Amino acid sequence: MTVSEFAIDLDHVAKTYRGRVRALRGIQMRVRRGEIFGLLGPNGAGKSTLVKVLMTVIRPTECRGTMLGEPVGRKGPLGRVGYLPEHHRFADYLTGAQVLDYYGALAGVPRPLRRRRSAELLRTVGMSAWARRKVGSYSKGMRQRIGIAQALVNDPELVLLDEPTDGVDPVGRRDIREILQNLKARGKTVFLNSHLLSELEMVCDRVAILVQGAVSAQGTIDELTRDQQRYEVEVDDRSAPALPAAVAAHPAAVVAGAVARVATTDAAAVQPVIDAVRHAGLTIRAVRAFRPSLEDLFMRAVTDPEGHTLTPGARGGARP
Amino acid sequence: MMALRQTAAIFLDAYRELNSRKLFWFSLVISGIIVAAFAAVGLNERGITLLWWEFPADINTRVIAASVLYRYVFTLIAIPFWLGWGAMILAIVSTAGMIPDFVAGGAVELTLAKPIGRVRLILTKFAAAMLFAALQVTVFAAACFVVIGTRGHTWDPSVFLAVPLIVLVFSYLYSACFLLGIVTRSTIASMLLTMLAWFLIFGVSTTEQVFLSLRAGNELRRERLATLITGLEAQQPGEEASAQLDRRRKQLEEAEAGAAAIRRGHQAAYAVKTLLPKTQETIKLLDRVLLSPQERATMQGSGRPPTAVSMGDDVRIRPREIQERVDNTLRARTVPWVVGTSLGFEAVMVGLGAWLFARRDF
Repeated sequence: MTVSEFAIDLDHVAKTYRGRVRALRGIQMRVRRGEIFGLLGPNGAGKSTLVKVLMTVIRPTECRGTMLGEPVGRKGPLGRVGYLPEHHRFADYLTGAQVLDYYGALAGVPRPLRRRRSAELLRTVGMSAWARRKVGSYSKGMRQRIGIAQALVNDPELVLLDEPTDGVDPVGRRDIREILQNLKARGKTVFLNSHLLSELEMVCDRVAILVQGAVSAQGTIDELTRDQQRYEVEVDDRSAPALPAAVAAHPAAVVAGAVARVATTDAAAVQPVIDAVRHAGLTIRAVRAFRPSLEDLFMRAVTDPEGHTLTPGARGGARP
Repeated sequence: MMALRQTAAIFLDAYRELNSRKLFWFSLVISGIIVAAFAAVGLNERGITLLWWEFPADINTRVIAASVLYRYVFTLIAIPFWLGWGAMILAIVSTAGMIPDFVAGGAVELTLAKPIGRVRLILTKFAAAMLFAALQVTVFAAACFVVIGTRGHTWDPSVFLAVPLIVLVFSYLYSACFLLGIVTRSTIASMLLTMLAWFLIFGVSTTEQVFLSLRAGNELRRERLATLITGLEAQQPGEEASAQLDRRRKQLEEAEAGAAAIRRGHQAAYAVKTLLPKTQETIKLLDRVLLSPQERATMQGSGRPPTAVSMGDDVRIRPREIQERVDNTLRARTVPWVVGTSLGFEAVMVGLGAWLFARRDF
């Protein structure tokens, strides 16, 4: 795989704020072109700092990496990038259409193209009827919709969205998911930063979990949960007391109450356990493949071996 | 092409921002009222007229042309007092929030994430803030141009020199506001501190002019005494003449001793003033073009008997003489000194602000 196949290719990104607050501790991360990539992490993990470093809003302490093939920190590629910051604020004196026109012009989009795209995007985010109203009169969800349209006005190759569904109702969230899927279908790369794990799980091809300024895990959800995937054989309550003896000959099976767990992703490997249970005359209630959710994965990443949640500063430094 | 598009977008945004502020329109309305008042004033062979009322005065068309009155009122009253003070205060109040609002969290990220360098971005924002002053003064100057033309029968395009001069003065003050806006990120703080800075600049300028008046008065006194001494020396020697000569020589010695102290004070004030923007003197550059010294003197002194004041003794000097000497000194100051040193101050403020903006994390 060549470097150009990555929309974002970070070897080492570090940011230490004044007062020696280490927000990023050497981030290594790769985002492939054409995928939807999710960045998750608890508050203060450094997610927004990382996005701001990519968008040149924050100057990194150290940075080795590229975005769209050019070193991070250069302004040039930003014309091909769309960005929606968290807690963004548009000038109240602008209308929705003027917001798109202004940021489109700053991104270097010619006026006729801006007008055409603005009209299309306003329709896409369901804001055409409000296009001539001042942003000051918008609800939070409406501002978010305009924000997403703003991020797409330059038809970017890469879109970075920081909490895009913040303040958006369920219908709006579904619309945003559709927009993201459409972007992916058009070969665009989407970098999502969100707390809403269920949202990410629905749309992301790959994710990275950031904890205290460092990448704790990175890959597809399947790759990241493989070691926790298992099959479970559940018997009825009357059979439960006899279950340990029934599977004793199979060391891979671990019994917990009425359930025998077999740590494998291979369906064939669980058949002998099922046979043993049936041979013992026990009643099987269910056999199911278990895959941890993104939330399970996230909670495991942000919990230390003693079971305590890793909070900002637990390693002496991530910014709250 | 992209740079041009971005610059145009920032200017258009600045216009929209100003347009949304009531003060912009309030300021324009006041300008309209002032122009209307300006047009209501007239001059005839008996004196000054205001609408249909007539006020007999020494200033009349037998002494000066009506166009001189209009140019005088425009140059020495309308421009310095309204555009130089009133509209300037409204302009600072209106624009003080531009930079703090721009660098506020949630707003600046959107702009910084665009393909435009930080230094160019913030300098363009600075230039865009000049729109307020530029629009206001252009409308005002155009209206005054029409009034002077129709009422004074002189179509003098040099009236429009007020546009760059007032914008220049506003840019001196706004440079401080710009830096303070970046440092404090507070509209109120940057506005009040800019007003304070303006007050200090005005204070230094006034102090320097007071020293200049003292210096001019002292020079005139010494010249007067030297003339008296020469006259006394030429007279036949006698006891009375000798006593008078001694007294005059003593007065001259005292004046010379005073001159040294005044010179030191003036030099100190002048040195400080050199480093600061010269708001009043920049505005006064207009009267160098619009009014000849004779026209100015006629307007300022017509009809009034030349009163003289003593400086605690029998050496009498007329205030007009002092004022003329001060005016001559001020007029002798070169445009590069007046504008160049002020722009130097502005460059330091803007450069420092741009440097801070370029290095800051948002």
